[in-house]
Formats: sequence, C-alpha cells, structure tokens
Amino acid sequence: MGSGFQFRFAFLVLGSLAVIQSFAAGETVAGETAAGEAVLGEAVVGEAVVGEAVAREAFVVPTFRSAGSAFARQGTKPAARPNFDGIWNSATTTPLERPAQLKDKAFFTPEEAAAWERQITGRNQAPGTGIGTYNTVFREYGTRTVKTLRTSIITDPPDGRIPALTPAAAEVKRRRLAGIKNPASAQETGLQDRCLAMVTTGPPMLPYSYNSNYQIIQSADAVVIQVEMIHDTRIIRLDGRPHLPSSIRLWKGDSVGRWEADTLVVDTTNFNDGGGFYGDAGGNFGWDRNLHLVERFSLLDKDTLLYRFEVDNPTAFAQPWKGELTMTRSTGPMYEFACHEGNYALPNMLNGERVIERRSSTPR
Amino acid sequence: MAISGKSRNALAVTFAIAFMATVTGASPAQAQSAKAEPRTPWGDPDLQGIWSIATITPFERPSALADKAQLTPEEAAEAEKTFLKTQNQDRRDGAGTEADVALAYNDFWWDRGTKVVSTRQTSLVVDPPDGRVPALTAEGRARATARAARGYDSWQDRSLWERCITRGLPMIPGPYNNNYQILQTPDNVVILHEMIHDARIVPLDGRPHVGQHIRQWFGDSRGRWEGNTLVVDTTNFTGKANYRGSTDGLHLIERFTRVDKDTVRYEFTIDDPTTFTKKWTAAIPMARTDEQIYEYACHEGNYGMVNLLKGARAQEKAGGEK
Repeated sequence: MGSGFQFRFAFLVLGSLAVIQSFAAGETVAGETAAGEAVLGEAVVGEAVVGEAVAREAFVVPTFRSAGSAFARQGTKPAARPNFDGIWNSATTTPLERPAQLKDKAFFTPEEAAAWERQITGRNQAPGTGIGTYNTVFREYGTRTVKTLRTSIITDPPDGRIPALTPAAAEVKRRRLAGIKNPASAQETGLQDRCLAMVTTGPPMLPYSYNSNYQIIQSADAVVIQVEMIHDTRIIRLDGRPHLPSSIRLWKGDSVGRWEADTLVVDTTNFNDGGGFYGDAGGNFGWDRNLHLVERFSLLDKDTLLYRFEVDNPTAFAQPWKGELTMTRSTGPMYEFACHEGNYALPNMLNGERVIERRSSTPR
Repeated sequence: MAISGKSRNALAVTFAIAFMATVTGASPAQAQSAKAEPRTPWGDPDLQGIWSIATITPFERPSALADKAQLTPEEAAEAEKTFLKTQNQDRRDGAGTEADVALAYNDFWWDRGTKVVSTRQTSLVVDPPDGRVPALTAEGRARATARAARGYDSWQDRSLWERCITRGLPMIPGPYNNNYQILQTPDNVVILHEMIHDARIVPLDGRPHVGQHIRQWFGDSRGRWEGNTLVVDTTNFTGKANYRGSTDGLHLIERFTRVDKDTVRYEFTIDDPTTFTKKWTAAIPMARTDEQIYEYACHEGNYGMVNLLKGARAQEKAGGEK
C-alpha cells in the first residue's frame, strides 16, 4: 500500500469492489455475490439492452498522440506514438465476470451504470459484519464502472464468464485451493499472501480493492510499467528481440511489445508453474506455464487508457478468453509499497490454522 | 539470499592482503575517453542499457595503500590474479570445519566481478583523498554501537539485506547481482536495480521534493542535467534505511556520466552531518553488459532467515553465547 494517508485519500474515490468480493470465495466468479443481492432493480435490468454496436460506436474516439507532456523539458518523443506516460488507476465497480442477473446484457446504459455504481458504492461503505479486516479508509474501491459501460471485465466468451478449466487444470486448482484454505505452510498460501505477486501485476493486470495504480514510462525502445503492488516493474522491450528461450520461466513472464497503429500490443510467454493463484482475496485463475497472453493498450481519450487482454492457454482452459477495462489518469504520485514489512498476517494465518487443528484434534 | 557481514569483511581483508603484496608507486589519473558519448534522439546524453558495477576494488582504501590512489596496469593484473586465487570459493579445505561451511555459495553462484575498476583507483571512496569514509560523529558512533548490539532474537533484529526489504541506496557493489538497467525519456529516468527488483522513477521536470513527512526506503529522487551529467538529488529517506548508520537527514547526490560507449561513471556524495564528520564521495564505473536482467528472488525458496534464528535458538539451548 502507499505510505501516507494523503495518498490514500487521494485515491479513495477510485477502487474495485466486485473483484475482491468474488475472490473472497476463492473462486474467480466475480459479481456472483453482487448478483445475488440484486439491488439493481428488475425494471432496470429488464430494460432494453443497449446494442453492442451502439455502445462501441460511442467509444470510438480520436486518438491522442504524444505532444510532449506538461512537464516536457525539451525535444519530442522519438516517434509519434500515443503517449501513455503517467499514473493510471484501474479500480472499478465493474465486476470481473458478468453477474448472473445481467446474463444477456453486455453493456449498461448510462442510467444503469449510475445505479450500479450507487449500489456497489453503498455496499462498500456499509459497516461490515464478522471480524472484518481493513476499513473503508484503507480500501480504494472504485466508484465508477469501466468507461465502456461493459457489465463485466471479461468480454469473451460472450457470456462474460471465464471458461471452464481443463480436467488437469481443475485438479491443480482443487489442490491449490485446498492449500490456500487450510495452509499447512507458507508455501501453500497464495502468491498474494506470500507477497510474491498480486493480481494487479499479473499479467494480466486486474484491479484490486486497493492500490490499483500503475506508472507508465514510455520510450522508443521500451515501455516501463511500475505496478504499485509489490513495487513490481515490467519492462516491455520494443526492439524486436524475440522471446527468451523456453527454459527461462518467470512470474511475470517475458514481455515483448510492438505497435499496431496506435495500439501497443504486448505478447507475453515464459510464465512459470506457480502463477495464477493469488490467494483467497486475490483470485485463483488456474492458468499454467503455457499461458500465452496478449495485451493491448490504447487511449480512449487523453485521460482514459483502454486495456484489453487475451488469454490463450489450451492446457488450462477449454477455450481462449478475453477481457478489457479502462484506467483513469491520476495525478499521483505513487509511493513505496510494503507487503511483508510490518505485516504479521502470514504467521497469524498459519497460527490460526494450527489452533483450528488443535481444537478439532484432526491434524492435517 | 543473505550474506553475512563477516563474509563481506573477509573479502575486503583478503583484497587488502592481495594489494599489499603487489603495489608499487604510480601517479593517479582518471582515464576518460575523448570520444563523443552517445546521445538520445532528443539530445540528452544516453545512459540507457544494462550496467554492472561488480568489482573486486575495495570500498575503502586498504591501509597498506595509504598514499596510493591508483594501481598501475601491472599491479591491477597481479591484484586480480591474487584475489581470484585467495577467494576461490570452490576450494574445500577442511571438510566439516566452520571455515569450510563459511564458504557458502560456490564460485559458479557468485558474481562479484573478477576485475578492479577500469580507473584502477585503489578504493571506491575518492573523497576524502585518503579513500576512507570519514569518522562518525559522537552521535553516529552511539547509534552504531546500539546497532551492533542487536542480536538474533527476531528477524527484526537483522539487517534490511537479510530481511529482503531493500538493498537500498546508494548503489554499491555486492557479491552478486550487481546489475542495473537504465531507461530514459525526456521527462523521466528509470533505474531498475536487479536486487529486490527495486525500480526508481526519477522525474526530470523540476518538480519539488514531496513533503517532509513522506519517508521512504528509497527516499524521493529528483533529477536534472548538469552539462553531460545526470544529477539525482535524493532526500526524504526513512531513518530505518540507515545506510552506514545514516539518518533520515541523509541527503544523497548521485551523478551519472556516460564517459564512453561501455562506461557510465557513477558517483555519489553522502551528506549527513549528524552521522559523518564531513561529506564524502565514492565513484564507481558502471560497465555495459549485454546480459539481461531476470526476475530476482530474495525470500522465495530461501530458508536463510529461519535458519539464522533457529541457529541462535540452538546456541541458546546449548548454553552458548546468545
């Protein structure tokens, strides 16, 4: 998290609930809980669905090219590419997966989006029940849907839901979830609990309930994405060098970028075996080392970045799937993130498990 | 992966011995290329690339070289040869002894460099002229004594290095992973540290430092060009960062100059009057490398901290020194 409350307040208006809510169940079924409560009135849901074509049309906007930033000292960028330099926030009320009550509805109308935002924001601000964890000052829940008014971050398959896992991947996930729910050791917890990786880093880079912030620095040869969480930094090379040998396996994979017109296309392979299981709160996806990820960055307007991604991983998923979200420009700055530092959660989680075992006298 | 202070001291001592055996007189001089240094398309000196600061040159000048600021090429070659021989971590003298265990990682694993710095200076500290870090103030000494008394009761007693929190600033050579990647735009410089995958984004737009109450491990860096040199000014350190006992009042000034195709001269000045009796400066040539930097893991798969603390508990049980 960012140090200093100034920063926290600055971002309080931005943040994501839907993703973390769904992740609380240890599943990647975002919005399920939200759907069940259906504060969004039936009348609203039942209203005429905005045609996809219409909604898309609304978001075909002029491209914003680099004209030198407000802080530019001298010279210009080496090529007239869209300029992504700056700090971006991806927090949103839009859930990762389409809620059941929006089954056939890919887009909100503006009025529906406003109602959805009120519903989610209201719930985020409601006092929690049970033991609870962080309070609303700590969280940075999003208060707005994605700018495209999609009802889910997942765009393909058309039902807005992540496809089924293959039997082998489902078995891996079953085992990992068993460990995450009742960890015998630190190694069985999620990547997030171990401070190794967060869902905001991915890639793909998905919003979380706080610190969904990125700083992008772009040159002709590389694009740097500093992720607030875990102070992870992706350096995406644009110089045409091929991917690393397949023997090199990395948490963030190996990313190479290229420009297709005004879109930055980032191709990532070389993932390791441990990815995709962030833990109870972070999402558990189940992709494996064969994941081939393609991300697309473009500008909807000068303050809105459209982030699209495609997951191609036949050994893990029954079919490829795609998603998209929008990020909003922020003035920042981003401060240092601390994960393990001053954080006693991991020992406490393991202690808790041991206490439960002693009480039930059924050691694992 | 943690390396104990003891091992690092051993390296320095051995280096000193190697030098004592080989030195003769020579006049100090800075080797600088006359060739025009590379430029970015927008006209700034180009510092971009992957750079290594691995070196066997000691941080402070060995006492045997009191009046000698630079080695001759022959002395440098001899020092390197001797260093490699005495520091061979693959040797196995006395299996089962503590000395053998202390060899820890083997030479395949280490990456501490095999060469003295290209300038052949006898220490990385270049100012004061004796090549030694100035004396601590009384307050600095008191803090150092308190720090040295910390034991092994908890991981919090251990160093930031062992705790995998940060390897911090300034950039100083270590026994492995001495690699940095620099990227530039007209508005920012990014410096990726291989260790702890720390990355600094240094704005060049003249914005002021953040407020005094914001304190960070890496402080708050602002950059500017002075001629061909990138000057990075860093304040707002947390006192816990504690570089050589420094406080949150540390003012760090770093200078990066591309002196030739294969070299960036990196220089830093430490200004912390409550800790050091005067300012001091070190200079380290960064050598271009065609290698890539991969992801770094510190805690991951590393049982060093647990074992350190377990070892201390075992010693206590055995009635040994705590």
